[in-house]
Amino acid sequence: MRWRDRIVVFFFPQGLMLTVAALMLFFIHLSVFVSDVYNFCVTHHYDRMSFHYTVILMFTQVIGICWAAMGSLYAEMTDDKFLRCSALIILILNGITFFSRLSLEFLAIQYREENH
Amino acid sequence: MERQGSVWNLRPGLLERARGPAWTAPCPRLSVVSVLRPAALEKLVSQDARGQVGGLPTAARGKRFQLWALGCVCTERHLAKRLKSNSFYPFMQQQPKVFVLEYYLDTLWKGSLLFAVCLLLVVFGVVSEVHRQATWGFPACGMVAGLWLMVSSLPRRRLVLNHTRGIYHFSIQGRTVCQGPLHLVYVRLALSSDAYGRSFFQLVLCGHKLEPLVLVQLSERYEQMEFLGRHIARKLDINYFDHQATSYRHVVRHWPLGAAFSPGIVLRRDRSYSRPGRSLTELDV
Repeated sequence: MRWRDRIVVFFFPQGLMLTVAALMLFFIHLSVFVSDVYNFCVTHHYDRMSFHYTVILMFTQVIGICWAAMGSLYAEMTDDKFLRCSALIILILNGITFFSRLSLEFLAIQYREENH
Repeated sequence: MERQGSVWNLRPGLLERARGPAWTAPCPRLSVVSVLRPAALEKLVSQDARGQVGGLPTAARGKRFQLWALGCVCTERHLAKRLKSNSFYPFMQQQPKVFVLEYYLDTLWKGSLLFAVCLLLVVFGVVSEVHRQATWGFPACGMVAGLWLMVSSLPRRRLVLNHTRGIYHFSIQGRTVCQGPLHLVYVRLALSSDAYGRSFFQLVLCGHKLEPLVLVQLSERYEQMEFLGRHIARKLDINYFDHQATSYRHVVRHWPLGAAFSPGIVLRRDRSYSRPGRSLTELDV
């Protein structure tokens, strides 16, 4: 199929869509993580960190890993080496982001808002 | 086995002769007393067995959502009733040997429902904050997922079985996705079992690079499902496969190119045998 046709039926190849969605989620999580690390280590503005969004962030991290794994499975079924490698790399990146986020939340657990 | 003989008289010659020695393999569900016998099902199906010819633009517009109902409440009686009114169900016969199916995926209504529910949740702020955590992100994710499901199901799918050219053609909103020989489209009986060992069957129309279409969702009656599957495959003139990979109950009408020359396949002296030879010369694959 030509690439122009493939863009028109953009939603049809399921594995590719899942991998692309996982890549987008990776970029979102990376930007949130970078801003959190900046506020935690550099400027020490702890109230600008993403403590209010921890639950939804953990949820989307796990969903990102699941989608990347499913996309990697679909890619393994094709014979395209480029697709298989990129899907696997995206899965690894999502995994790294998840564990980095977990470590940051653990390090910053003392700096959360106190409610008595 | 005598009951099987009375059912398969519908297509004399090919099925009976090909199945001669193989009927000794016992069907695992034959001893189950079923409510609706295959012979009665055959009567239900064949009473008004006339395919609807022509008139595709007007008659087919309402038929595009027919697979949705079949996905919700599908027993084999429901499918048999549909087959009574349109014997080439779910296809429409455009010309004597050309069958067309236009449909929308059922994720269209599922995505729309998810989008609408999550939109209401976000607008009315029902779950926007729980214990000082901003949880409006959950319905927002639901909205995005529902929107994606809806938009990806909006293009109309079109599957054409063309027996005069010996190919099938699958397109989405006019763009060809794939086109290939007819041995790649088939009706399949799929088996799933629960923890107690009970078997449930599913009748699926699928093929190479096609989206699988479930015709009957869940049924325990093996004979009726097999009868319906064979009936549909006979009307559409495509292959039918049993739930097991190796089985005597497969009905293969179209062989892959070059299969006639493989040593494992015994050649049948039958008029349908001429089809591989004809397809080799006529197909420009």
